[in-house]
Amino acid sequence: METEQLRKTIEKVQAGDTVAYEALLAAYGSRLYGYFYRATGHHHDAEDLLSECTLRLVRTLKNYDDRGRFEPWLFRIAANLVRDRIRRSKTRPRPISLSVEDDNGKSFAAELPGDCPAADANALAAEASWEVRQAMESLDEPTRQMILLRHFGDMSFKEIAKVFECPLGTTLAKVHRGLAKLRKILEANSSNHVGYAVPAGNGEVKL
Amino acid sequence: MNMTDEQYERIARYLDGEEVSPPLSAEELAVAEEIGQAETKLTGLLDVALPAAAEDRAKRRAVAAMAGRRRASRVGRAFGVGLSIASAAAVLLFAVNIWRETFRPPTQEPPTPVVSTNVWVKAMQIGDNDEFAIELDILAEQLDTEEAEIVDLTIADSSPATGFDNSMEYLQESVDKFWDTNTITISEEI
Repeated sequence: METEQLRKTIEKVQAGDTVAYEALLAAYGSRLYGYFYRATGHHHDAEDLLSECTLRLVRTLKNYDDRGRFEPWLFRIAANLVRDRIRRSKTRPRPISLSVEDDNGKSFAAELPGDCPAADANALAAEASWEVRQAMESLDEPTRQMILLRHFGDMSFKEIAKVFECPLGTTLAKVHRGLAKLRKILEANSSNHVGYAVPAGNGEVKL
Repeated sequence: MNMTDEQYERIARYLDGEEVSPPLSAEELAVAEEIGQAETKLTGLLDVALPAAAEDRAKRRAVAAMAGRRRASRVGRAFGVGLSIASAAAVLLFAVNIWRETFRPPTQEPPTPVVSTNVWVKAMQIGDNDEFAIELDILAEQLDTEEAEIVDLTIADSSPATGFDNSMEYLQESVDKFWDTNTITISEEI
Protein backbone atom coordinates (compact mmCIF):
# COMPACT_ATOMS: atom_id res chain seq x y z
CA MET A 1 0.00 0.00 0.00
CA GLU A 2 1.36 3.43 -0.97
CA THR A 3 2.35 5.73 1.88
CA GLU A 4 -0.31 8.35 1.16
CA GLN A 5 -3.01 5.75 0.59
CA LEU A 6 -1.97 4.01 3.80
CA ARG A 7 -2.15 7.28 5.75
CA LYS A 8 -5.68 7.96 4.47
CA THR A 9 -6.76 4.39 5.19
CA ILE A 10 -5.44 4.60 8.73
CA GLU A 11 -7.26 7.89 9.27
CA LYS A 12 -10.49 6.31 8.09
CA VAL A 13 -9.99 3.32 10.36
CA GLN A 14 -9.32 5.64 13.28
CA ALA A 15 -12.66 7.30 12.47
CA GLY A 16 -14.34 3.89 12.67
CA ASP A 17 -14.62 3.02 8.97
CA THR A 18 -14.93 -0.76 8.77
CA VAL A 19 -14.42 -0.84 5.00
CA ALA A 20 -11.06 0.88 5.46
CA TYR A 21 -10.20 -1.65 8.13
CA GLU A 22 -10.95 -4.48 5.73
CA ALA A 23 -8.65 -2.82 3.18
CA LEU A 24 -5.92 -2.66 5.79
CA LEU A 25 -6.38 -6.33 6.57
CA ALA A 26 -6.34 -7.20 2.89
CA ALA A 27 -3.01 -5.38 2.57
CA TYR A 28 -1.28 -6.84 5.64
CA GLY A 29 -3.27 -9.96 6.52
CA SER A 30 -1.20 -12.25 4.35
CA ARG A 31 2.12 -11.04 5.71
CA LEU A 32 0.87 -11.22 9.28
CA TYR A 33 -0.40 -14.73 8.74
CA GLY A 34 2.90 -15.76 7.14
CA TYR A 35 4.80 -14.32 10.08
CA PHE A 36 2.56 -16.04 12.62
CA TYR A 37 2.76 -19.34 10.80
CA ARG A 38 6.53 -19.27 10.46
CA ALA A 39 6.94 -18.11 14.04
CA THR A 40 4.73 -20.77 15.60
CA GLY A 41 4.86 -23.52 12.99
CA HIS A 42 1.11 -24.15 13.22
CA HIS A 43 -1.77 -22.97 11.09
CA HIS A 44 -4.17 -23.02 14.05
CA ASP A 45 -1.88 -20.77 16.07
CA ALA A 46 -1.36 -18.51 13.09
CA GLU A 47 -5.09 -18.11 12.60
CA ASP A 48 -5.65 -17.44 16.30
CA LEU A 49 -2.87 -14.92 16.39
CA LEU A 50 -4.15 -13.19 13.27
CA SER A 51 -7.54 -12.74 14.94
CA GLU A 52 -5.92 -11.53 18.15
CA CYS A 53 -3.73 -9.15 16.22
CA THR A 54 -6.65 -7.64 14.32
CA LEU A 55 -8.53 -7.11 17.58
CA ARG A 56 -5.46 -5.55 19.15
CA LEU A 57 -5.22 -3.31 16.11
CA VAL A 58 -8.82 -2.12 16.60
CA ARG A 59 -7.96 -1.15 20.18
CA THR A 60 -4.59 0.45 19.55
CA LEU A 61 -4.85 2.02 16.11
CA LYS A 62 -6.49 5.14 17.55
CA ASN A 63 -3.21 5.81 19.36
CA TYR A 64 -1.06 5.25 16.30
CA ASP A 65 1.04 8.25 15.45
CA ASP A 66 1.55 8.56 11.72
CA ARG A 67 5.01 10.05 12.21
CA GLY A 68 6.31 6.51 12.72
CA ARG A 69 6.37 3.75 10.13
CA PHE A 70 3.24 1.66 10.17
CA GLU A 71 4.73 -1.73 9.31
CA PRO A 72 7.31 -1.87 12.10
CA TRP A 73 4.63 -0.64 14.50
CA LEU A 74 2.22 -3.35 13.35
CA PHE A 75 4.83 -6.08 13.50
CA ARG A 76 5.96 -5.01 16.95
CA ILE A 77 2.42 -5.80 18.10
CA ALA A 78 2.60 -9.09 16.22
CA ALA A 79 6.00 -9.92 17.76
CA ASN A 80 4.64 -9.31 21.26
CA LEU A 81 1.70 -11.61 20.57
CA VAL A 82 4.03 -14.33 19.32
CA ARG A 83 6.28 -13.92 22.32
CA ASP A 84 3.31 -14.29 24.68
CA ARG A 85 2.04 -17.32 22.79
CA ILE A 86 5.42 -19.04 22.86
CA ARG A 87 5.83 -18.28 26.56
CA ARG A 88 2.40 -19.77 27.27
CA SER A 89 3.02 -22.83 25.14
CA LYS A 90 6.21 -23.56 27.07
CA THR A 91 4.29 -23.77 30.33
CA ARG A 92 1.19 -25.38 28.84
CA PRO A 93 1.93 -27.88 26.05
CA ARG A 94 -0.70 -27.82 23.32
CA PRO A 95 -2.22 -31.04 22.06
CA ILE A 96 -1.63 -31.80 18.40
CA SER A 97 -4.02 -33.89 16.43
CA LEU A 98 -2.81 -35.66 13.33
CA SER A 99 -6.28 -36.18 11.96
CA VAL A 100 -8.20 -32.98 12.73
CA GLU A 101 -8.53 -30.92 9.59
CA ASP A 102 -8.09 -27.19 9.44
CA ASP A 103 -10.30 -24.77 7.48
CA ASN A 104 -8.60 -25.76 4.25
CA GLY A 105 -9.39 -29.39 4.81
CA LYS A 106 -5.76 -30.22 5.55
CA SER A 107 -4.68 -32.29 8.50
CA PHE A 108 -1.36 -32.10 10.31
CA ALA A 109 -0.57 -35.57 9.01
CA ALA A 110 -0.87 -34.26 5.47
CA GLU A 111 1.94 -31.83 6.19
CA LEU A 112 4.36 -34.55 7.20
CA PRO A 113 6.90 -35.45 4.51
CA GLY A 114 6.83 -38.93 3.02
CA ASP A 115 9.81 -41.11 2.23
CA CYS A 116 9.44 -40.69 -1.51
CA PRO A 117 9.91 -37.45 -3.43
CA ALA A 118 6.63 -35.71 -4.12
CA ALA A 119 5.06 -36.53 -7.42
CA ASP A 120 3.25 -33.31 -8.20
CA ALA A 121 3.82 -29.62 -7.87
CA ASN A 122 1.52 -29.05 -4.88
CA ALA A 123 3.03 -31.86 -2.90
CA LEU A 124 6.47 -30.56 -3.76
CA ALA A 125 5.52 -27.11 -2.58
CA ALA A 126 4.23 -28.60 0.67
CA GLU A 127 7.48 -30.50 0.99
CA ALA A 128 9.49 -27.34 0.48
CA SER A 129 7.35 -25.55 3.02
CA TRP A 130 7.93 -28.37 5.49
CA GLU A 131 11.68 -28.19 4.94
CA VAL A 132 11.68 -24.45 5.45
CA ARG A 133 9.74 -24.99 8.63
CA GLN A 134 12.23 -27.54 9.86
CA ALA A 135 15.10 -25.25 8.96
CA MET A 136 13.47 -22.36 10.80
CA GLU A 137 12.89 -24.53 13.84
CA SER A 138 16.59 -25.34 13.96
CA LEU A 139 17.27 -21.69 14.83
CA ASP A 140 17.12 -20.35 18.35
CA GLU A 141 13.98 -18.35 19.17
CA PRO A 142 15.36 -14.79 19.02
CA THR A 143 17.27 -15.40 15.79
CA ARG A 144 14.20 -16.92 14.13
CA GLN A 145 12.07 -13.97 15.21
CA MET A 146 14.65 -11.48 13.99
CA ILE A 147 14.81 -13.05 10.54
CA LEU A 148 11.02 -13.26 10.31
CA LEU A 149 10.46 -9.68 11.43
CA ARG A 150 13.04 -8.54 8.90
CA HIS A 151 11.28 -10.49 6.14
CA PHE A 152 7.60 -10.00 6.95
CA GLY A 153 7.70 -6.73 8.87
CA ASP A 154 10.22 -5.04 6.61
CA MET A 155 11.91 -3.81 9.78
CA SER A 156 15.32 -2.22 9.84
CA PHE A 157 18.03 -3.81 11.94
CA LYS A 158 17.83 -0.86 14.27
CA GLU A 159 14.10 -1.47 14.82
CA ILE A 160 14.66 -5.18 15.37
CA ALA A 161 17.43 -4.42 17.87
CA LYS A 162 14.99 -2.17 19.71
CA VAL A 163 12.29 -4.87 19.84
CA PHE A 164 14.73 -7.39 21.30
CA GLU A 165 16.53 -4.85 23.46
CA CYS A 166 19.74 -6.11 21.95
CA PRO A 167 22.79 -4.14 20.73
CA LEU A 168 22.71 -3.41 17.00
CA GLY A 169 25.94 -5.28 16.28
CA THR A 170 24.78 -8.36 18.19
CA THR A 171 21.46 -8.31 16.34
CA LEU A 172 23.09 -8.39 12.92
CA ALA A 173 25.57 -11.02 14.07
CA LYS A 174 22.66 -13.27 15.10
CA VAL A 175 20.82 -12.67 11.82
CA HIS A 176 23.98 -13.33 9.82
CA ARG A 177 24.67 -16.62 11.58
CA GLY A 178 20.98 -17.61 11.34
CA LEU A 179 20.81 -16.94 7.61
CA ALA A 180 24.02 -18.91 7.05
CA LYS A 181 22.56 -21.85 9.00
CA LEU A 182 19.30 -21.72 7.04
CA ARG A 183 21.15 -21.68 3.74
CA LYS A 184 23.23 -24.66 4.78
CA ILE A 185 20.19 -26.72 5.83
CA LEU A 186 18.13 -25.81 2.77
CA GLU A 187 21.01 -26.54 0.41
CA ALA A 188 21.56 -29.90 2.08
CA ASN A 189 17.86 -30.70 1.67
CA SER A 190 17.81 -29.58 -1.95
CA SER A 191 20.70 -31.89 -2.76
CA ASN A 192 18.53 -34.83 -1.67
CA HIS A 193 15.98 -33.99 -4.38
CA VAL A 194 16.31 -33.85 -8.16
CA GLY A 195 15.89 -30.10 -7.95
CA TYR A 196 15.14 -27.68 -5.16
CA ALA A 197 11.58 -26.51 -5.21
CA VAL A 198 10.97 -22.84 -4.74
CA PRO A 199 7.30 -21.91 -4.51
CA ALA A 200 6.53 -18.85 -6.57
CA GLY A 201 4.11 -16.20 -5.41
CA ASN A 202 1.27 -17.60 -7.53
CA GLY A 203 1.46 -21.01 -5.89
CA GLU A 204 3.38 -22.65 -8.74
CA VAL A 205 6.64 -24.35 -8.08
CA LYS A 206 9.83 -23.58 -9.95
CA LEU A 207 12.28 -26.43 -10.23
CA MET B 1 34.68 -14.14 8.05
CA ASN B 2 34.81 -13.20 11.68
CA MET B 3 33.43 -9.78 12.46
CA THR B 4 33.47 -7.89 15.70
CA ASP B 5 30.28 -6.41 17.17
CA GLU B 6 31.48 -2.96 16.13
CA GLN B 7 31.91 -4.12 12.54
CA TYR B 8 28.48 -5.73 12.57
CA GLU B 9 27.04 -2.50 13.86
CA ARG B 10 28.61 -0.57 10.99
CA ILE B 11 27.25 -3.13 8.50
CA ALA B 12 23.79 -2.93 10.09
CA ARG B 13 23.77 0.84 9.71
CA TYR B 14 24.87 0.47 6.10
CA LEU B 15 22.10 -2.05 5.38
CA ASP B 16 19.58 0.24 7.08
CA GLY B 17 20.53 2.93 4.59
CA GLU B 18 22.54 5.13 6.95
CA GLU B 19 25.79 6.80 6.01
CA VAL B 20 28.71 5.02 7.61
CA SER B 21 31.96 6.82 8.20
CA PRO B 22 34.61 5.70 7.40
CA PRO B 23 33.11 3.65 4.52
CA LEU B 24 32.84 -0.12 4.89
CA SER B 25 35.97 -2.13 4.23
CA ALA B 26 35.99 -4.75 1.45
CA GLU B 27 35.50 -7.46 4.06
CA GLU B 28 32.56 -5.67 5.64
CA LEU B 29 31.00 -5.02 2.24
CA ALA B 30 31.30 -8.72 1.41
CA VAL B 31 29.36 -9.62 4.58
CA ALA B 32 26.72 -7.01 3.80
CA GLU B 33 26.31 -8.47 0.33
CA GLU B 34 26.12 -12.00 1.69
CA ILE B 35 23.37 -11.03 4.11
CA GLY B 36 21.45 -9.22 1.37
CA GLN B 37 21.64 -12.24 -0.94
CA ALA B 38 20.58 -14.66 1.79
CA GLU B 39 17.56 -12.50 2.57
CA THR B 40 16.60 -12.33 -1.10
CA LYS B 41 16.77 -16.12 -1.37
CA LEU B 42 14.33 -16.48 1.50
CA THR B 43 11.74 -14.25 -0.15
CA GLY B 44 9.77 -16.93 -1.94
CA LEU B 45 10.39 -19.63 0.64
CA LEU B 46 8.95 -18.02 3.76
CA ASP B 47 5.76 -16.60 2.28
CA VAL B 48 2.60 -18.49 3.14
CA ALA B 49 -0.80 -18.05 1.52
CA LEU B 50 -3.46 -16.70 3.87
CA PRO B 51 -6.40 -19.13 3.96
CA ALA B 52 -9.61 -17.37 2.93
CA ALA B 53 -11.46 -18.72 5.97
CA ALA B 54 -8.84 -17.34 8.33
CA GLU B 55 -9.02 -13.96 6.65
CA ASP B 56 -12.82 -13.90 6.82
CA ARG B 57 -12.81 -14.85 10.48
CA ALA B 58 -10.30 -12.15 11.36
CA LYS B 59 -12.32 -9.56 9.43
CA ARG B 60 -15.57 -10.58 11.09
CA ARG B 61 -14.08 -10.35 14.57
CA ALA B 62 -12.47 -7.02 13.85
CA VAL B 63 -15.62 -5.51 12.36
CA ALA B 64 -17.66 -6.80 15.30
CA ALA B 65 -15.14 -5.28 17.71
CA MET B 66 -15.31 -1.95 15.91
CA ALA B 67 -19.10 -1.98 16.06
CA GLY B 68 -18.87 -2.82 19.77
CA ARG B 69 -16.54 0.12 20.34
CA ARG B 70 -18.97 2.43 18.55
CA ARG B 71 -21.83 1.17 20.71
CA ALA B 72 -19.76 1.61 23.85
CA SER B 73 -18.84 5.07 22.71
CA ARG B 74 -22.51 5.98 22.20
CA VAL B 75 -23.43 4.63 25.65
CA GLY B 76 -20.50 6.54 27.11
CA ARG B 77 -21.63 9.75 25.45
CA ALA B 78 -25.20 9.25 26.67
CA PHE B 79 -23.91 8.64 30.19
CA GLY B 80 -21.75 11.74 29.90
CA VAL B 81 -24.72 13.84 28.83
CA GLY B 82 -26.79 12.43 31.71
CA LEU B 83 -23.99 13.21 34.14
CA SER B 84 -23.71 16.75 32.82
CA ILE B 85 -27.45 17.31 33.25
CA ALA B 86 -27.31 15.97 36.82
CA SER B 87 -24.33 18.21 37.60
CA ALA B 88 -26.09 21.22 36.14
CA ALA B 89 -29.21 20.45 38.20
CA ALA B 90 -27.13 20.17 41.38
CA VAL B 91 -25.41 23.49 40.69
CA LEU B 92 -28.76 25.13 39.98
CA LEU B 93 -30.26 23.81 43.22
CA PHE B 94 -27.28 25.06 45.19
CA ALA B 95 -27.50 28.49 43.52
CA VAL B 96 -31.23 28.74 44.31
CA ASN B 97 -30.59 27.90 47.97
CA ILE B 98 -27.88 30.54 48.20
CA TRP B 99 -30.19 33.06 46.54
CA ARG B 100 -33.03 32.26 48.96
CA GLU B 101 -30.77 32.71 51.98
CA THR B 102 -29.33 35.94 50.63
CA PHE B 103 -32.56 37.60 49.53
CA ARG B 104 -34.91 36.13 52.16
CA PRO B 105 -37.65 38.64 53.17
CA PRO B 106 -36.99 40.08 56.67
CA THR B 107 -40.45 39.03 57.94
CA GLN B 108 -39.56 35.37 57.76
CA GLU B 109 -38.07 33.58 60.76
CA PRO B 110 -34.28 33.26 60.52
CA PRO B 111 -32.87 29.75 60.47
CA THR B 112 -31.91 28.27 63.82
CA PRO B 113 -28.17 28.73 64.34
CA VAL B 114 -26.00 25.89 65.55
CA VAL B 115 -25.16 27.79 68.83
CA SER B 116 -27.99 29.49 70.62
CA THR B 117 -27.89 33.26 70.15
CA ASN B 118 -28.70 33.81 73.82
CA VAL B 119 -25.39 32.30 74.85
CA TRP B 120 -23.49 34.76 72.70
CA VAL B 121 -25.55 37.68 73.89
CA LYS B 122 -24.88 36.81 77.53
CA ALA B 123 -21.20 36.27 76.87
CA MET B 124 -20.97 39.65 75.21
CA GLN B 125 -22.83 41.27 78.10
CA ILE B 126 -20.39 39.73 80.58
CA GLY B 127 -17.49 40.90 78.44
CA ASP B 128 -18.87 44.44 78.50
CA ASN B 129 -19.27 44.49 82.30
CA ASP B 130 -16.57 46.92 83.51
CA GLU B 131 -16.60 45.80 87.16
CA PHE B 132 -16.15 42.20 86.15
CA ALA B 133 -13.31 43.05 83.79
CA ILE B 134 -11.46 45.05 86.48
CA GLU B 135 -11.62 42.13 88.92
CA LEU B 136 -10.25 39.82 86.27
CA ASP B 137 -7.39 42.20 85.54
CA ILE B 138 -6.40 42.40 89.22
CA LEU B 139 -6.41 38.61 89.56
CA ALA B 140 -4.38 38.16 86.38
CA GLU B 141 -1.86 40.69 87.66
CA GLN B 142 -1.53 38.87 90.99
CA LEU B 143 -1.03 35.55 89.20
CA ASP B 144 1.71 37.04 87.05
CA THR B 145 3.50 38.43 90.13
CA GLU B 146 3.34 35.12 91.97
CA GLU B 147 4.55 33.17 88.94
CA ALA B 148 7.49 35.52 88.61
CA GLU B 149 8.39 34.88 92.27
CA ILE B 150 8.19 31.11 91.70
CA VAL B 151 10.76 31.39 88.99
CA ASP B 152 13.13 33.26 91.35
CA LEU B 153 12.71 31.03 94.39
CA THR B 154 13.78 27.46 94.82
CA ILE B 155 11.49 25.70 97.22
CA ALA B 156 12.33 22.26 98.56
CA ASP B 157 9.52 19.70 98.76
CA SER B 158 10.16 19.24 102.45
CA SER B 159 10.21 22.98 103.25
CA PRO B 160 7.63 24.23 105.78
CA ALA B 161 4.88 26.52 104.62
CA THR B 162 6.14 30.05 104.07
CA GLY B 163 4.43 33.37 103.64
CA PHE B 164 4.69 32.84 99.91
CA ASP B 165 2.84 29.54 100.18
CA ASN B 166 0.14 31.13 102.23
CA SER B 167 -0.35 33.97 99.82
CA MET B 168 -0.54 31.47 96.90
CA GLU B 169 -3.15 29.48 98.74
CA TYR B 170 -5.13 32.62 99.45
CA LEU B 171 -4.90 33.66 95.88
CA GLN B 172 -6.08 30.25 94.63
CA GLU B 173 -9.03 30.36 96.99
CA SER B 174 -9.95 33.83 95.74
CA VAL B 175 -9.85 32.66 92.12
CA ASP B 176 -11.96 29.59 92.87
CA LYS B 177 -14.47 31.65 94.83
CA PHE B 178 -14.69 34.21 92.06
CA TRP B 179 -15.33 31.55 89.38
CA ASP B 180 -17.84 29.66 91.54
CA THR B 181 -19.89 32.77 92.04
CA ASN B 182 -19.76 34.08 88.48
CA THR B 183 -20.20 30.72 86.69
CA ILE B 184 -23.35 30.02 88.64
CA THR B 185 -24.68 33.45 87.85
CA ILE B 186 -24.00 33.02 84.12
CA SER B 187 -25.60 29.55 84.03
CA GLU B 188 -28.66 30.73 85.79
CA GLU B 189 -29.11 33.70 83.53
CA ILE B 190 -28.81 31.56 80.42
